[in-house]
Amino acid sequence: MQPLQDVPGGGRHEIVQTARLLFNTRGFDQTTLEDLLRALNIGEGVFLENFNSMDQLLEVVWSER
Amino acid sequence: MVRTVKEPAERRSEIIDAACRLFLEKGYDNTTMTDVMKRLQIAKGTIYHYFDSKQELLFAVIDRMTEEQLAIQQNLLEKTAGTALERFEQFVIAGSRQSDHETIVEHLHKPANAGMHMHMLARHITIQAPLYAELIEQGCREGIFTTDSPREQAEFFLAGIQFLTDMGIYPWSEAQLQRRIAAFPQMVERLLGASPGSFNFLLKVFS
Repeated sequence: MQPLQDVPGGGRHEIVQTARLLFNTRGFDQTTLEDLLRALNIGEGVFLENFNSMDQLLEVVWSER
Repeated sequence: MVRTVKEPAERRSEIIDAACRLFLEKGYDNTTMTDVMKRLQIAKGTIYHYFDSKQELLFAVIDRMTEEQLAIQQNLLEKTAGTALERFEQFVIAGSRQSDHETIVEHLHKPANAGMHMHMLARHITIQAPLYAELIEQGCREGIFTTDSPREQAEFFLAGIQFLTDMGIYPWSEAQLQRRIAAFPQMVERLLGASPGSFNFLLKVFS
């Protein structure tokens, strides 16, 4: 399912960008899913439409650039 | 899981080693953070701490390979003997027999990796130039070359030859490639002020 682009912070690209920023500033181990959801102002459901887990998100953040 | 505390430099080096092997075994695109994690039994967060992107890790791998390449080249140069021209020929021919890291090279030829490819090519030229400059200086002392800037001339012909024969950059046909190669000896001779025909051995390298 395609993520809704008009949901604030809900696009896949935006999740990756924000996660990268958080991981870079505080480190992956110090970043929780809650931190990310708060930073993006999205619910867990929107996250799960795009990624299975924080672990999978990290893999994407790391590989794409 | 037992936590092993390692020196940062040691840990970093270990990650580069594992990545180098993985890139060669599986290819860069197919290597995941999970692969590196499993190979080293370390957390993904640890890998991320040292290399915050896969590309950064690839650059570190390239730097490592370039350093290894330099050591090999230095060794080859030390084994050469004779006049500057004789050593030049021995060095160029021995160098051409060295096999590259084929898989990495193949990977570098993908359009998406053009920037990385340039980075590696540039690093190769920079590390090789002083070795060639040594031979050029010897040739100047022997009176067979004339130049005031051996290092820059070495960089100039290395860049020219390596760039122009790189099929990842130029998809030449065989005939187009052969035309370029055929012109190299005279270009190098004129650059170094060497006598005509003295660099014909370059043709052997490409045959």
